[in-house]
Amino acid sequence: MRKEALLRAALLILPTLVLAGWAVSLPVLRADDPVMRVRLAGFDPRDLLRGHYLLARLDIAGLPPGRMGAGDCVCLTPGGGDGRPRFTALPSCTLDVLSACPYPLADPGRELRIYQSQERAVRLEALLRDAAVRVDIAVRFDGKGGIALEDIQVEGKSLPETE
Amino acid sequence: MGWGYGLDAKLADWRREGLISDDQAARIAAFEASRGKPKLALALAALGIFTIGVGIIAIIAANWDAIPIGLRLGLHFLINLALGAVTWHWAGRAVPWVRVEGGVLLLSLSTLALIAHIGQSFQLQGSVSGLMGGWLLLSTPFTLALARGGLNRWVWVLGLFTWAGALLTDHWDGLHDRHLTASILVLFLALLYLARLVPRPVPAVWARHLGQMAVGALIGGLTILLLVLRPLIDGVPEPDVMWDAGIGGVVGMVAIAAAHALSPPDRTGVRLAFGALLALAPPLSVLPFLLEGTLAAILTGVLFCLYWIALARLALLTDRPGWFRLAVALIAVRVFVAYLDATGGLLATGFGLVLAGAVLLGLAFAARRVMEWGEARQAGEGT
Repeated sequence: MRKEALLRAALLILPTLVLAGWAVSLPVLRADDPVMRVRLAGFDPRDLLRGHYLLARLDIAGLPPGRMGAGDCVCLTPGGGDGRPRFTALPSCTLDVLSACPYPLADPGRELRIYQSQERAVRLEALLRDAAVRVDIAVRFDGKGGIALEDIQVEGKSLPETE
Repeated sequence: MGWGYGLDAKLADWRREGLISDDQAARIAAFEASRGKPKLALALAALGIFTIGVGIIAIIAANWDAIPIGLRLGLHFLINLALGAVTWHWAGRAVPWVRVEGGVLLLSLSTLALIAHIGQSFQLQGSVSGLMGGWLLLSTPFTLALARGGLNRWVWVLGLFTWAGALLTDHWDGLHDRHLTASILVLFLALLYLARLVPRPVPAVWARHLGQMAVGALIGGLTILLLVLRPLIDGVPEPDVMWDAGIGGVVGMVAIAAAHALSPPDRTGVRLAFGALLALAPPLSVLPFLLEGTLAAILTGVLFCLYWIALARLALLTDRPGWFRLAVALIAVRVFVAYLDATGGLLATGFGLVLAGAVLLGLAFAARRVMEWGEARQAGEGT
């Protein structure tokens, strides 16, 4: 009876503890990931905002639309002052190929959904639509093709919550 | 038949029809009168709690972005832990089962929300398949162990299908290049069908539910394809699509047949016939797409009617009046669709509308007669 109660407790509590451990470890694990600031472009100029989510893509110089081949992985190299990195298509998305690149990225043309507060999201939408100023974001590369995003900046400055 | 809706009106009707005696009516009325009715105070208290809950949610939602991420996530973890603790407390005691079911459901949904919350907080750019896969991984053990009710089973199965659909979409291009999309889909359904044989510790009610979901998906998929999609699609799909679907049809037939035959009682009699019908669903879904024009329309209609006639026959033999009625209704709908196809633009005229109405009335009459025949036949076989 006691064993059953313990098993039930484990089943009910462990998932939350696993998620808590994951959430706590994320910033720690990310701390050593290489970072590159990459310019953002609207994913679809007609529809940049979905609720609080800004729909954008990484503005990579010369990246053709659609998929980049079987693996659809590229290696980015920091670009010039325009914040648009260059890319080299990788032959596959296997770990040994990705590990040879400092900034590997899978599915480079993907739609990014960037959560913002409502007011910031509306202002960023207008800025991206006009494309008159540089909007970029810090991209952390996990080395396996995945990325995490943080700190959107407009002309090199973080956007305050209110104007 | 009276026009009242209350208990007294119903009791009067039943007495008049001779279904219950005066004495029984009086006892039923006394019993119902003695039962507790919702108390005003209780109703007000429930309304008050509900209003407070909505108010708290509104305050949190309005200030969501102003709450630090750590605090938001911390509160969510605490809610999850509290739900787990309460469900654990109820699961070990003789309390109404609905409490445990409710606790499991809330914990399960809160776990899904927590994964999404973490993804949103850290801008993880994860996929739907990742979200649903993580949720299934974490919530399946406690859901299978503690929940038995229909709502929890349906929510879990909905999550499973969402995860499978998202995973298929993620790998669509690669699978389609190899003509394997349809095969993966039917293999998933075959595995689900096989789950009906899973032994303990998986509860029997779960195993049965998964098997029923697979049966529903196979027969429902075939029905939608033959009744709706094929008539809507002109011509024959692209050759690579047909290769993919054709391979899937054959793979599906073999896989479903194997999943059915693995259970010895299913290899004889009516169950064997049902297994054959299930195994035929994938190839029959593809067959009408190989042809075009009138021939495809005729084949689609005939296959649909024959399939559901066979299911109706099995329903009669196994005493399942619900399936029999469904078969009759679907065949009637298919006949009416065939009539609409044949008469073309006649519906735009008053005469055409009158004729269509007459056809519908005729079909309703015929369907009713067939259902009565089925019911009489079942009653005859039952005695």
